[in-house]
Amino acid sequence: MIDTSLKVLVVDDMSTMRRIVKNVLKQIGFSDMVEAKNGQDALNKLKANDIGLIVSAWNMPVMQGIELLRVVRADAAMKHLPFLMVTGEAQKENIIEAVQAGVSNYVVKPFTAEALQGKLEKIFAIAQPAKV
Amino acid sequence: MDRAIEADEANMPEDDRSINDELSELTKYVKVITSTIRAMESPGTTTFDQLPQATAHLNDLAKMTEEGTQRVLALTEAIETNRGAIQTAVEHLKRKLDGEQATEVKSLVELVKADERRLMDIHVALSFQDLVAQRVAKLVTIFNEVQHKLLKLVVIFGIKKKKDGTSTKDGGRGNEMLRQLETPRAAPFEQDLVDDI
Repeated sequence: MIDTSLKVLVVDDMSTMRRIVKNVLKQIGFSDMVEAKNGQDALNKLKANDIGLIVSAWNMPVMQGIELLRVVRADAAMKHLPFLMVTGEAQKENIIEAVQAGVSNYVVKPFTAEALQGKLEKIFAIAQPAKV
Repeated sequence: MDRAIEADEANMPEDDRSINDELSELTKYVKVITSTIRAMESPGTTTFDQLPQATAHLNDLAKMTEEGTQRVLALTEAIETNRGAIQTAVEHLKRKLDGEQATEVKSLVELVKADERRLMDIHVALSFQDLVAQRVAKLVTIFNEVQHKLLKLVVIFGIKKKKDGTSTKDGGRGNEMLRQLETPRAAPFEQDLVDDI
């Protein structure tokens, strides 16, 4: 079950993509969202907000998504945050690199709303396993 | 003078003659390379002028697709807001009715709900713009690298540009394409003026 009460940080250098991702998240049920236009901006927003989920692009100026992921995973306070990468980088090496860096899940652009929702469901199923 | 050189060459030890031949070959080769590079002056410097313009147009392309996408997103958001309001109103109406009328209204609810999915599909389909912008950014990077390398050639080999800065006739198709791209930047004719003409 996706916890839609969480505050979501949407990170992408393209304003159109941030808008699209936010609208999809809104349809899923999220209402509390913050935007950042690159990894460095995302780190600033993480310090200033109580973020519960990060949805980030890979290719961004200033600080890429993969670097943001590494910084988040290296920080004791943030390392358990669910981190969904939404990116056009679909090469095997990129996916392996993201998995090794600790990404929670990975969506390839162009994506469908169902695909994004499916990945989020998997993230939250792992985070909150069903009691047997 | 040439006969004196030939005489000198005939008297040279064999090893020296071989080195001399190789040096002559090398000199000929350098002359060929230099004249080839000089022949590149015209297309090389034209390309050098065209690349920044091409890069600017690529950046404009990314910006235009972004602006268009934002407009479509705004419209789909407005449609979704209306759709949501209609769905709520129709569901409210359905609760007040029974029998055949309730059934008819139920089918209306289904119609309105189906559009929710279509609007979301339109929304995510617009993510093409992001992929376009990324490709454009990569092209711009490639063009900048080519320009940098051309500049190195210009500096190293002293390829001359025309002082008056005009393009050469060899600019050809590239210059024609750029001229066509530049034309819309001047104020386009309004529809009324076109109709009058």
